[in-house]
Amino acid sequence: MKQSFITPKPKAILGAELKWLLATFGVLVIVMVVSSLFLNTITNASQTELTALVSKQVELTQKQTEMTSELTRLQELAVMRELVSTTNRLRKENVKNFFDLVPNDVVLTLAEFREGTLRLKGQTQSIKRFKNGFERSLKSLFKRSSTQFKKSKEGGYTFTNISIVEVK
Amino acid sequence: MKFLEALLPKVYITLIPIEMGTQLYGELRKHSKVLKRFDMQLFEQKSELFVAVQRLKRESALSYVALLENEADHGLFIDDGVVELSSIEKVNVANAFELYLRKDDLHERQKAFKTIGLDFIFSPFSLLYNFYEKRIRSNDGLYLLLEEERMVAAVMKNGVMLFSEQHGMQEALHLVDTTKTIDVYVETIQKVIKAFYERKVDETMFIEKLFIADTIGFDITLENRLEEVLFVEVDKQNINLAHELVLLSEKELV
Repeated sequence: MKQSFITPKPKAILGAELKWLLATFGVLVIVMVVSSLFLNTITNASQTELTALVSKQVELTQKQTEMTSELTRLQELAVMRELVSTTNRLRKENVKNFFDLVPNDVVLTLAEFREGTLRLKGQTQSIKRFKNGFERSLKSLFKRSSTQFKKSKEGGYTFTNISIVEVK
Repeated sequence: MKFLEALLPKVYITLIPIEMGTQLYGELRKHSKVLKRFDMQLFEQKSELFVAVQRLKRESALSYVALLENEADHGLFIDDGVVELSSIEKVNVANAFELYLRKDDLHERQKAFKTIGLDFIFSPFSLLYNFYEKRIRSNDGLYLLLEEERMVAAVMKNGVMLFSEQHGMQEALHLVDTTKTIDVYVETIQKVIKAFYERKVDETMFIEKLFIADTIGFDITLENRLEEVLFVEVDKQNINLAHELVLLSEKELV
């Protein structure tokens, strides 16, 4: 309800000193906001970089683990290779030794060694000499050894021997 | 800025011109509550008044100076074609009637108080209306504002002002005999009622009830005399004119 014949003049609530104070405060606020934004940007960049470094570290650790595993595997393989090499050498020697065991009156027509089993076929003139000589040697080398004889047309005997190496 | 204004207390300064000078009163208020009152002072010299007003203004960043206009040509506006509209300033009261003030007087008053700057100039009829606002809506009759130097009278019907008049009462209070003083006031009220009937504003309206806003503090004798002489029902209330002016100023800002 307006009952006055005049209307009031606009009031200057803020005095000059207060205006100056508010302006200063405003400038300070702006400076603080800008500084805060700047620092936030730097912090965010550092954070991103740190995250990348952490990822890299994880990646490198994984690679190191893989390399260690690979190294271990290779070391194991080297040991195995050495073992295989040694075994093969031993076997070669064994085979050489084995043929040295074959007496003069025994003729081998087949010698096959597969999966721990030695199969021999051949001819002999005397079963008795075979058993006392060659078979005794086989039984000392293999865990089990069995021989079957068959009389041949030419005189003498054909034999088939199966010897099994002990599996440990 | 409105938000800031709502947070601050406001100092309302009122000026009531009387024969001897100007009465100065002030209240510091916030959200319709009085925080501080400043005693009524009378200043004969304008220069002293202005110094006192400036001192009061320092009580708050928001200060409003209101003047009660009771010297100029003013009152209820009746569009009878005689008054030149360009020469008057009008205010609408409750969309029911209009009060006017001659522009020359308005400018003169603003010029006279230019040093301190006036924010409001109110008619005493506005003040009377606002003091009785709730009653006026349901009570027809003659509403009076009794001051030491003048009497303001308004006939109200259905919330509308039909008739207004004011009379100078400077001589009445100088009488030594209180009974004679009362007689002068009663006679003046009688004159007002007679003038209302003679003006034939509303021939169906009879003054049966008087509502008196009394700034002087008359005792029951006035009411008794009026009831005896005029055969009317009288309802008298004391009024603090300066405080009511503060309330009117506060209302104006809402």
